[in-house]
Amino acid sequence: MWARSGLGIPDSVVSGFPGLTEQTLVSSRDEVSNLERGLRLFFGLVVGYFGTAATIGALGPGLNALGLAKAEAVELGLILGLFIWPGFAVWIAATRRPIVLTTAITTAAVLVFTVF
Amino acid sequence: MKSTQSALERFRWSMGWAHTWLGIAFSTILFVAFWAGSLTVFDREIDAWMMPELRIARPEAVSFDETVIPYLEEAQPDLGSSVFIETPSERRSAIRLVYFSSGELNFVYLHPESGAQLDLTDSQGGRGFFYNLHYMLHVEWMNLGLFAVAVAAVGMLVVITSGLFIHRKLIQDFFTFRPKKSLRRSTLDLHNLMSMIALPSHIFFPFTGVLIMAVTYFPWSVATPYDNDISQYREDVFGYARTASGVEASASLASIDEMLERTVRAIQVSKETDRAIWPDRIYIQNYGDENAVVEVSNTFPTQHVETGDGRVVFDPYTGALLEQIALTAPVKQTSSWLKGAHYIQFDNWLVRWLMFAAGIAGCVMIATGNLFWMRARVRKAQPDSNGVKLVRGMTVGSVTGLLLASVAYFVINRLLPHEAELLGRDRSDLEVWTFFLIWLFSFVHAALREKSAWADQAFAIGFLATFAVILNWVTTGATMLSPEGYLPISIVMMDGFLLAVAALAIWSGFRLHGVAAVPVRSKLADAHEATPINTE
Repeated sequence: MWARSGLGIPDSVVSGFPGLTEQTLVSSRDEVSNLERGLRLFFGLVVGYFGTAATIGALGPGLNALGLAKAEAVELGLILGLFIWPGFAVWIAATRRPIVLTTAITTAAVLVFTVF
Repeated sequence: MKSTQSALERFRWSMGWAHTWLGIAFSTILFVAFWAGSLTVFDREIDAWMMPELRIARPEAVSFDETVIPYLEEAQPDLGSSVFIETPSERRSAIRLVYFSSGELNFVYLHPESGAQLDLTDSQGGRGFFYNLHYMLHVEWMNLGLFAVAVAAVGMLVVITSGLFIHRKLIQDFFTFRPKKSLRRSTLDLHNLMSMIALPSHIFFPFTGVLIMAVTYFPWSVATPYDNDISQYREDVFGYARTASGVEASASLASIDEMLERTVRAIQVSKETDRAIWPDRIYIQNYGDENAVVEVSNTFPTQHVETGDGRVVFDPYTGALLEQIALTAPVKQTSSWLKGAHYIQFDNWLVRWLMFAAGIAGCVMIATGNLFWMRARVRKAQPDSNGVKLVRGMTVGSVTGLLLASVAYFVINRLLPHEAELLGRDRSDLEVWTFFLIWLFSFVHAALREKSAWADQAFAIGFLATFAVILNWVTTGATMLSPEGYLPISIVMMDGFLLAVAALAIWSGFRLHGVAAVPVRSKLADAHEATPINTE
């Protein structure tokens, strides 16, 4: 299951989630519904936006601390951070990980970024 | 079978799904952004076509002391308001002023020699209408239009990225177009060809479009290093700023002509060049106030892509040079280049035409994608079902409907009397109403016409575009062969463009006329049903 799910999570952990079976972990052309794919893209764009905002928000002060002037740090943060948005949407559309787990992971990542 | 499906195939299938559905979901907004953006490349030429009073000769020299200053003294903009002045250029001879007076935003054009205010045809023209349509769809409420375009732009980046993954023969697609094959095949060929031929621009423009407005999209992110005060960021980026004191200045404006000459010399020194680069913007901050300031800039340099390179700040009352701001930091130069390349306001005509062509290639890519998708879907359903009507209405209205509304906008501009008014709305509003009404009508028409929705609208575009050229000749006496007055290039370009659109629309109309909405199934079609994207 480990290898086929591609999640990198031990079977013992996965088995602790009711309903999270091999069937739900392996997505393919026939097993993923249009609804799920649509939800993936929707989440990709929405969460991608907040992820981008958090990344830009983190890069500005970070680059400033590394010696760039504030305005330049923000400009560079914008240029680099904007790759996150479409990149995230492509990733979430392509990933085999189930939608609930993916959303949970990305939401947690956004929260961490925002707090940081 | 499922278990033997490779990871690569699954990935490509996911990308194909994202490509199709994101493309369809955002196709209307993207087509609007690409079409209006392409027209905006030649906004000043469209302005001169729609407002013939702008077709005036550009004088050898312009004195702003004799034209702008007397006008400002008479018009008396609000104390402390901002006054933007655009200097005459090769593309527009008149001086353009923008300022607040009595709570209203005023757009004024002055004759470059006499300084007299030009009595223009009341129209938003190309710059006022298509530019706004391009980046915010004329939806200003809570910046909804801005955000819709931004999300569509990001969707476009996903669509392009996924499109690259699903095509196995990118190089072959670049050289493949079989117009004599079935409509389905030639449509897909054209879609692939237009995607490949302008691929860099399809990635570049959505990205830089979001970058230009990023401060609006991510205000809190940008404000983070500035202790959440975004006004500090604006001051930092946009340069010199003073706060209005609210006290009226006792002195009058110093010579603007002298400020311009000093700016030219200052830029020559900083650039180490003998070439005189004339500023294109004069910005009076806090007009009439004690704390006023004049910023002279070369916002859209004639021979550079970067915007805002070379700004010089003066005291408006003494004419003293206060500060010179230059783009020296690599990050700022990069950002400025990216934005400047998106604005496409530099005066290199060849590059600007290439950018325009890339935009039109984007339009064709979206249109053929829509056409291909619609024909793949409607054949699975009853041709008169409500679902098919909705799909047909949306796809046809989004593409040919928008073109039809655009040429109708040009036609109504030439037909309406100078003082036209209806239901309390002025002439420029009536032009905009016409645009949106015709566009709305095109959706309804497409939903109701089963076989000939594309062809009907294509023929209508051809007719109206030709009619617009005739109307321009009748109402102004100017034609492509004998353009009247100055700025003939704008007439040649606009009339030539409209005639080209007419020819292409009529050809497309004949090509699409009578094509059944539900095509006969074929082996090729069956193959495509299995893979709705080109995966040969």
